[in-house]
Amino acid sequence: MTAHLDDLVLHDHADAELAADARAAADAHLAHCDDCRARLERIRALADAARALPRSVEPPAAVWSAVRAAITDAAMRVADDDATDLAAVRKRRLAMRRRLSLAAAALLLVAASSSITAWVMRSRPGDRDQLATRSASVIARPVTDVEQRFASDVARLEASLAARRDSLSPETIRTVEASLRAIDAALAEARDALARDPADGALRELFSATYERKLDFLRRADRLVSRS
Amino acid sequence: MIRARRRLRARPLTLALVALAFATPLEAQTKVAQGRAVNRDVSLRIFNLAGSVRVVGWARDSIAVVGSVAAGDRFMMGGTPSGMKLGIETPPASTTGGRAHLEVRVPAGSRVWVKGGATTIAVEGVSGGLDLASVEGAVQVAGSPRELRVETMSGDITIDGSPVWIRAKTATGRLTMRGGSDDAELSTVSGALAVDGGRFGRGSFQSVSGDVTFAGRPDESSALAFDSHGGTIELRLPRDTGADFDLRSLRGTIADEIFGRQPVPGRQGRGQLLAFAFRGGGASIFATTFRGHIVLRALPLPAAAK
Repeated sequence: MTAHLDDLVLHDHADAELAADARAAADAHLAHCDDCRARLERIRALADAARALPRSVEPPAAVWSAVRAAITDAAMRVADDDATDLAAVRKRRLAMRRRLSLAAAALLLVAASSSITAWVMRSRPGDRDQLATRSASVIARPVTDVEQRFASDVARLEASLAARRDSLSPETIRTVEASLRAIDAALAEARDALARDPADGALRELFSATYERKLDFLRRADRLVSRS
Repeated sequence: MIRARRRLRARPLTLALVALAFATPLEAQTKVAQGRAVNRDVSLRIFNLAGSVRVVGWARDSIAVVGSVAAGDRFMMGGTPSGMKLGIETPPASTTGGRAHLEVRVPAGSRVWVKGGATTIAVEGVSGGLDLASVEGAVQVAGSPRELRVETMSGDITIDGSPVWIRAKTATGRLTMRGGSDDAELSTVSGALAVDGGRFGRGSFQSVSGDVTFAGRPDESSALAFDSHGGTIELRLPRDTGADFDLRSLRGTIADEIFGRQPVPGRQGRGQLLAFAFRGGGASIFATTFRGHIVLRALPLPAAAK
């Protein structure tokens, strides 16, 4: 048997771009080579899948509005601080336009990468929903996604603790409640700050870390010895 | 007269019979004194919901327990030379458990779990592993176990030693460590956290609203992270500390009293940031607080260096 067909030949064959004699030689090989036939089929399937993709992927309209509003709001606040300095205002407006352009470019890039990823992942239908969710969330991450990540575990543990409350000593109950108040106060401060500046990465990390701390505390409290 | 003598002779016998009838409860009511031969690396679980537990490591391959048990409760001890369990059992019909005090001597290389509620726990001289949990009682550890895990809700935690690996957590208690560790995570919710004197490889020191105070000598392999949402973070370091510093107070202030560096305003003019490398870097020191303050202060020179 002759050597296997290389990838370039197989791709050209799938795209009907081989010259007549090269195609004949390839067909002769394919007639008795299962390996190369299987590779050719995979290439054709991939090409079919790519052709079936939509020509463009638009993010939800609300997402771009939210991004634009956040950038505008931040820029306007800075501009308001120094409204009498016209040169500074012009400079800031230019910066705002640049930021909006960059944000638009970023959105296009994300949309494009989402398409490519969707094309590659097409053969794994189970991942499609997960991918769509992740793509949308990459564009804008409100504070609530942090809370949503922890919400069900926090709710479950709080319910379990409430159900066992009578088995804890009064001092322990006071300690648990005081600690939860301190943690929730910290969360409220961080949440308010993030609502005003959603793009602050350090603040988001702090908020997420504090939520993890709440979850850890609730787990510990839930393990408490009864009749403490 | 003879009848009187007979009555007198009968009384000791009666008393003996009464004593026999109550023999078992009498033992459980007061003193405990038991011992067992065990392996030098025995795993031992101790439980006592109220009172105290003191664990002392020794050079023998045996466990010895002395103590006292409250009326109505029962001391139990059982297991094999490789795994033992001992502690206080409160019968189901009992509405209140009393306080029991146990002193347990164990082979120094043991792995010991102690679980309590309103129980003070003190451990010294154990170099194996320790896992200590008390809800309201204080916990004290002296020595350098290979692993140390300790948790309380409101009890203070005090560690005098350098466990290789440590995880210590309390909510409202005060957490004090005098020593170092290769891998440490110490945290409180509102209690103060104070670390003094050791060398840390990897250290994480966190509180939600409590102050965090650290005094130590990081070396080039140290990676230390300090975090308090609302408390002050005070770092006392030698003047010649070679380190990369990344300090952030998102709404508070930063003061560098060692190197004299000035922080810059944070994002949108809020809070302060200070990031620099001293002496070419080396140790990594991160500190973050939301509205607390971060202070760098100089550690006094050792007496020999003065």
